[in-house]
Amino acid sequence: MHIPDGFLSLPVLISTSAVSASLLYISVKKLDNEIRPERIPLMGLSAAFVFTAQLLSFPVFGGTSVHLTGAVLISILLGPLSGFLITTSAVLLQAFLFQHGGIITAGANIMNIAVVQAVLGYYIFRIFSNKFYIPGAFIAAFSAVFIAAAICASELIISGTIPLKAGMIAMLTSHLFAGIGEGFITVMILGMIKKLKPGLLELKKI
Amino acid sequence: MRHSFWDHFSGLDSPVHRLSPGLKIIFVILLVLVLTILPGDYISYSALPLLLLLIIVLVISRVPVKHVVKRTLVILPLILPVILLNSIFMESGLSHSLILSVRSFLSILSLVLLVSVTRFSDIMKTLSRWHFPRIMIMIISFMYRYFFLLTGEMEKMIRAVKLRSGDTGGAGMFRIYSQILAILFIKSYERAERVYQAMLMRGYDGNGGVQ
Amino acid sequence: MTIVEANSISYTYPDGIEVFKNISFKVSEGESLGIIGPNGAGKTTLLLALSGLINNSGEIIINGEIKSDKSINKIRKNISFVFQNPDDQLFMPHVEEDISFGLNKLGYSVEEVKEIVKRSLNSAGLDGFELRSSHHLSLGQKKRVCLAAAFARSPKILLLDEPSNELDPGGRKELTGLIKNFKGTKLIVSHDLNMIAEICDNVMILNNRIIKSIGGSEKILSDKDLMENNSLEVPYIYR
Repeated sequence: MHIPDGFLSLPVLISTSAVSASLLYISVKKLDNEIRPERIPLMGLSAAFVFTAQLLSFPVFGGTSVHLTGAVLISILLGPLSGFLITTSAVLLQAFLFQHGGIITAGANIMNIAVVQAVLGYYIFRIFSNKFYIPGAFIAAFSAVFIAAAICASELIISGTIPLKAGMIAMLTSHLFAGIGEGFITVMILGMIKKLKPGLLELKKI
Repeated sequence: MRHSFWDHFSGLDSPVHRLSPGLKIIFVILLVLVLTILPGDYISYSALPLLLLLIIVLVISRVPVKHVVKRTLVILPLILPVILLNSIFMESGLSHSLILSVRSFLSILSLVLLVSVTRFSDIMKTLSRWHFPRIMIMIISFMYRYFFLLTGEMEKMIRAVKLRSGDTGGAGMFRIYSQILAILFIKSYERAERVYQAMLMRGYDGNGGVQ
Repeated sequence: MTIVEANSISYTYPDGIEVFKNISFKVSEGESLGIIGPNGAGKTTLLLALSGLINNSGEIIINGEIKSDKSINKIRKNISFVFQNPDDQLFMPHVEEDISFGLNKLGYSVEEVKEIVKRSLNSAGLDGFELRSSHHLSLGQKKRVCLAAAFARSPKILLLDEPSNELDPGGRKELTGLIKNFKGTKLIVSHDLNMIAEICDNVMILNNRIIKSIGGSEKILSDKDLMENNSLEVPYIYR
């Protein structure tokens, strides 16, 4: 969930922004050493892809729909560092272009999406990826969304925006389906890429 | 999906448009910060004056009101469930939620105004001057540039599928949409290769070809 | 003076398919050469080889420099390559950024670049387009921006890949005029044989991995048997 401005208290904003900013600083420093020039247009276009993919409404039963966040997907494809920068950029542009998420809450949104999903989600995937690529992708995508939801709920609760028990239950149940959806969509996309252009699954993960 | 693209109103001319982009960004960030920090009772006093201020800015800027209202209302689907939740499960939940709504409504209104009167390239240039990481600026620029193209391609694929399969809905579409996204990613990858070639032809060596 | 020279060059796709084998040709300074042939003949690949975007075997000499990893950056300073799909080379958010991209590498100052952008847009009939976004332009306008960007570099050699592709008749006419105005060396890959007939002094037919014919455009383009044997047809102007 993209948290709008006004929903988080100052202490929560400061702590989450500190985490996001430090990771951003570290990533940019690391990238300056590791990235090759041809990666830049790839990251840019992949970011445009993630941004676009998030708009697609996947129909589920009973008229509801689910959207792909794509953070774990893009990290599996390009690596955690790329995934982190791509999803951070997407969060920022979404705030400006669609008012999806606020500007001072961007630090918290970056933490919930780029740090928890793109980075942590990737490492969860890595635990399984050697022997269980597809199940690993599902578990990683699902848990990343679910953990992010829990952290997001905590941020809102600590800020006093929503009540503790009811808030946590509401966030977790709604994101249960989102997580399952993310898991299935991620796995299906990876499967399709394997069929059409398997080399793309072997890109160097940065 | 028609997307209200950024440049639409940011290219107009008004005293607000002519203000320095850096000034506008800082102003909005400070305003949103204040809206976040102010205790609840202060919010009730200052809500109306702040709203009036923003409306005055809107009027001077000559940006269509309908557009601004439409963009600001995207907060509604988030606010309403929260109001409901809090009214039931929180002590004095309703008044608390109303204050929350005011905070976020005014914040989002200021953000919408900022974006309506400032060009994308000006915001990027300002961020760049403030030493925002160059790689991020490049990624965001690419994202902005290719987003419209990709959404167009995605819509074309969806339309083609719907024509063929008659919009079966449910599980069938779920798999097909995943395929569409897979194809979209592959296309993006292949386009990235050609863009890199274009950059090479213009002398790109990793250090950016822009001033 | 020979400005482009290919000596026995060959290229094979990674999957093993041979594109062209041991072909050689020379292009003189100021010449406009049309490169024609059926689909899949390797015309675009030839331009990629000349630009150093793919590694071919054999020798390529451009503007007196032998193409190699060391010399390629220097060689590219004299070349502008207009791709088939403008969306592949208009990658910046605004037109002025696409046109100025890389100009600083050619040694121009910030003020000079601004002036060049203005002049290039003017020569392409796109005055005031600096702050427009490429994703909102029509195909014809995008192609003209690509040309303006190409001209902005004052290249000695202009490479064009299917420039009139998908353009409406008006756009095509405009583009042809702009290309004709360029006084340097031009290599144009195209299926638009009428445009080739209008612009090019010489023509090369590439087919089945070799150069089937190279020489004066009128002579080759009006040769009905030659054209039809290579899955082409005689352009209207010579019928």
